[in-house]
This record gives sequence, C-alpha cells and structure tokens, in this order.
Amino acid sequence: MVFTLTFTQEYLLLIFVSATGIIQLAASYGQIRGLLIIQNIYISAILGILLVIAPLLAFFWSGGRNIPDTNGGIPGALQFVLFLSGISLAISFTYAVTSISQSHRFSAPAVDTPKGLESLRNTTFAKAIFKNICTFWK
Amino acid sequence: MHLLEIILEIDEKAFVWINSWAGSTPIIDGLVEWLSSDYLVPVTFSLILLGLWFGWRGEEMRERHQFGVLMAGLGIGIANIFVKTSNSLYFRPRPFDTYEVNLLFYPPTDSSFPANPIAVTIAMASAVWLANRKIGLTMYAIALAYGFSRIYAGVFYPGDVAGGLLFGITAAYVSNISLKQLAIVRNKLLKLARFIILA
Repeated sequence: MVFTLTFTQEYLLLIFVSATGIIQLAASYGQIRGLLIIQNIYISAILGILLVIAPLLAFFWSGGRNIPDTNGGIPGALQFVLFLSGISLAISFTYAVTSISQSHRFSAPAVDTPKGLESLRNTTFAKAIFKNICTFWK
Repeated sequence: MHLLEIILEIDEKAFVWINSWAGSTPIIDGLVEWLSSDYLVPVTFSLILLGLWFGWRGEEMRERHQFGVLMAGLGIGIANIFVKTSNSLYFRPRPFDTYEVNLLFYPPTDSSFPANPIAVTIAMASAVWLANRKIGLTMYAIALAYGFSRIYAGVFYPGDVAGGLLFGITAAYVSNISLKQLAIVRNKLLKLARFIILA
C-alpha cells in the first residue's frame, strides 16, 4: 500500500522533522543533555544537521514549490498554523522520547535546581515538570 | 517631472535590467526558483528562531536570545499590519502587469509595494540582529538575496523590496519598544513558560 501525502501534510512533516533536528542541534550546542535523544553531543549535532537538511532537500527536490494558494499552495495564515503545529509536535516528541530513554541516567532534581530549560542540563522533562508541580502544590 | 516620477522611472528601469538576466542561465534560474519560493526562506528563518530559543550557553545569553525571538514574533505581526495598511491605501501593479517579463514565479494578485515577504523576513533578521550580531547579519544577507531573487523572478520592483526593508526594520523597532514597555506581561509569560519547561 502506497501512502500519498498532500502538500499540506508534506509541509507539516517537513516542519516536524526539521524542528526536531534544530532542537537536537541547539541542545548539543548548549549542552542541554536532558534534551538529547542520543547522549553523545557530536553524534547529536550530526543527527540534528541531517534532520534539518534532509527534509528540506526532499521537500524542494521537485523545484521551488512555487504554487499560488489559489491553486493548491498553502496560504500564509495556514502556513503559520502548520508551523506552530509542527514545532509543538517536535517539542512534544523530543520531551517524550528523552523522558523515557533517559529516565535511568538522571536522578530526580534537587529543590534548588534552576527553573525552565536550564534544568534540563541535569534532568529530563518528565522529572523537571514533576518537581515543578510538586513545588507548586506545597 | 516630479521627484516621485523620476524615482519610479529609475525603479522600473532597474527592474527591466535585472529581470533581463532571467531565462539565460538555467542553473541560476533554478537557484532563483528555490530561493524565491514562499517556503524556503520563511521556514529557514523560523527554524533559526527555534534554534535560538533552545540553543544558548549561560543565563544571560538565554535571556537575550529568547527576547530576540519574542521580538521577531511580534515583529512579524506588526510588519503584516503595516503591509496590509499600506495595501489598503496604495496599490501598485506588479511588473508583469505592465511589462513583458521573464516570469519565474507564479503571478501574485496583491499590491507590488511593499514586498510583504521582505518586510516579514527583514523584521525577523532585525530582531535577531539585536540579540546576536553574527546570526542577524547572516539573516539580513539571506533576506536581501530573497528580495533580489523576487526581482529577478519578475514579481517585484527594486523599490518594492526597498519598501519592504524599511517596513521590516520599522516593525522590529516598534516590536522592540513594545516588548520593553510590556516588561511585566513579558516576564509573567516567560515565568509561566519556565514552569512548563518551555523557556
């Protein structure tokens, strides 16, 4: 069975994969280990670059995709919504995968650990958000 | 002859000269078709913003970059408002409506002035430039190449791109001032984002 994606689905897939790659690249550069799918920083950086470039090449391989929105192209407002959806999916995917795959690497964060993304240097998303919620209800 | 008429005449002559190159070198035409696309530069710039949001070393850098990303986001909205307002006041026909051009892009139907995609990408580049000079300058260079590619492809006059440039820089400036004025709201949003590990 062959799946054929519509232009909108292809665009959403492009954003999702590229955004996942950018997060890996950024996390490698910033040494935010709790966001790395693969623990080695250099391999993560290479993976990030591949995940950014490959879908862009695949998407534009057939040409510039110069299609007016009146004839099958994606209108600006829909592009914006699809972009937000794509990066939301990429962030959720990264947080979910790293929380599961790295749960054994990091212990629960201490009370005085930094807030926000900074905390992901030493813990996973699941542990960090759990700590924040516990602190909030105390 | 009025000054405006002289400027428009120079603008149109510059367009005819640049667009006359189109169609003569298939490799350059192919590159222009990629670069002038509605997707390549906007997607690349948006991914750069995402990278700046997550990629930093140290507290001070993180705050500076995230402020730049917020400024770019607001700048996009302000640039669009500027362009829509301008379009409701003044309509300039596209070059292909007036001249026989070498068209490498689909024929848009909205006003030629100002160049909307250039206003938006320059607003993003200007906001990033305030946070990170090197990345900002790279984005300016890409945005200007994007503008040039649209002239080459036959859909904008050089003056439209220059207008987009001014609109974009002004939008980023207004965005910067607005975000500084709205420091309380901005800080509350960032605090919430840090709570859910998004900032």
